[in-house]
Amino acid sequence: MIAFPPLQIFRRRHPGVAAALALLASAAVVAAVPEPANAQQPATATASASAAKTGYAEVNGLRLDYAVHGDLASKQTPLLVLHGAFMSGEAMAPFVTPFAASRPVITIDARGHGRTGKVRGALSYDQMADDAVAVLASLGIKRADVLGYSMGGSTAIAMAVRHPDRVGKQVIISGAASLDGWIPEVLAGIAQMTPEMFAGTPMETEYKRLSPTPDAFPDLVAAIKHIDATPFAFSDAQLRAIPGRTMVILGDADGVTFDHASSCSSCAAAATSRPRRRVS
Amino acid sequence: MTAAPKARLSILPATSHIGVMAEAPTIAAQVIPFLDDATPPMPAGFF
Repeated sequence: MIAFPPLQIFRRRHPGVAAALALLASAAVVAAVPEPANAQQPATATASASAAKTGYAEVNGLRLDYAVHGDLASKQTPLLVLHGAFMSGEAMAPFVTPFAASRPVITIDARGHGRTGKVRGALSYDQMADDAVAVLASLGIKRADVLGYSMGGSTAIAMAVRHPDRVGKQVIISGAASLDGWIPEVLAGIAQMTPEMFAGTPMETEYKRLSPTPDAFPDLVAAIKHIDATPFAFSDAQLRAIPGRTMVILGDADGVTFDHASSCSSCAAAATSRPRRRVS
Repeated sequence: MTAAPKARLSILPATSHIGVMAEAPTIAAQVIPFLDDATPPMPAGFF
């Protein structure tokens, strides 16, 4: 586990919470990771800085913020990049630049996050998957490859299960197909989180910088606690029915268990190809 | 293995959940061939 200065303080006072925070994704926390000496890009580079097109889509009663990097009119399959909890599309800049050179890349600020603003009610992976598909549709994209990190990884799985004809390949980075894919201690730590524990952290600072509802960070904390305490599970049969190819990526000290990631990959490998419906 | 597999699994060494975000260049080098349906390279000298 990489130690971050704010987490070192938390770890002494709230060891469970420290573990949970260390496992939750934050763009700004990532910015705290020491950059290699030969790094060419500042760690705080943002995805929208090079965006060709930014805007929002009116979907499912929300104004979901998005950014498009590259030319959607190109013949390359677009890549949709989904961020993790307490992050934003901007936070996924490290995963935009390498891909945008060869295909259009779309980032979204999930409901409750970034420029999309205050979360209304509970978060769910199904709902966020439907949001993402609606944004793609609003951009005229019939099918996209999807790369999701952490919460975004679980959302990507939900997309492929619920909207298989809209998803090409999927890349699941440190994401789970079920709540029990997480290490129990991580979930226990998340359950102890309070908004006050984030005071002054880059996570809170970034939220306030981006959000149209900067005072609503406590609502986001509550929503993340709720989704991480709410059982969900995509079955092996559902994973095997996903028509697109899947890549699963995990750290060997991740919050998602190796057994879970391996099982997800095995299900994807056992998937039987079936014709896709034509998407109009 | 001579064809592009249906699924790929990558485990990053000494990498935490958040640490994964610092491994974007490594991950991109693995993911781009996956997205592009590149077949794994076949070394010479075996078959």
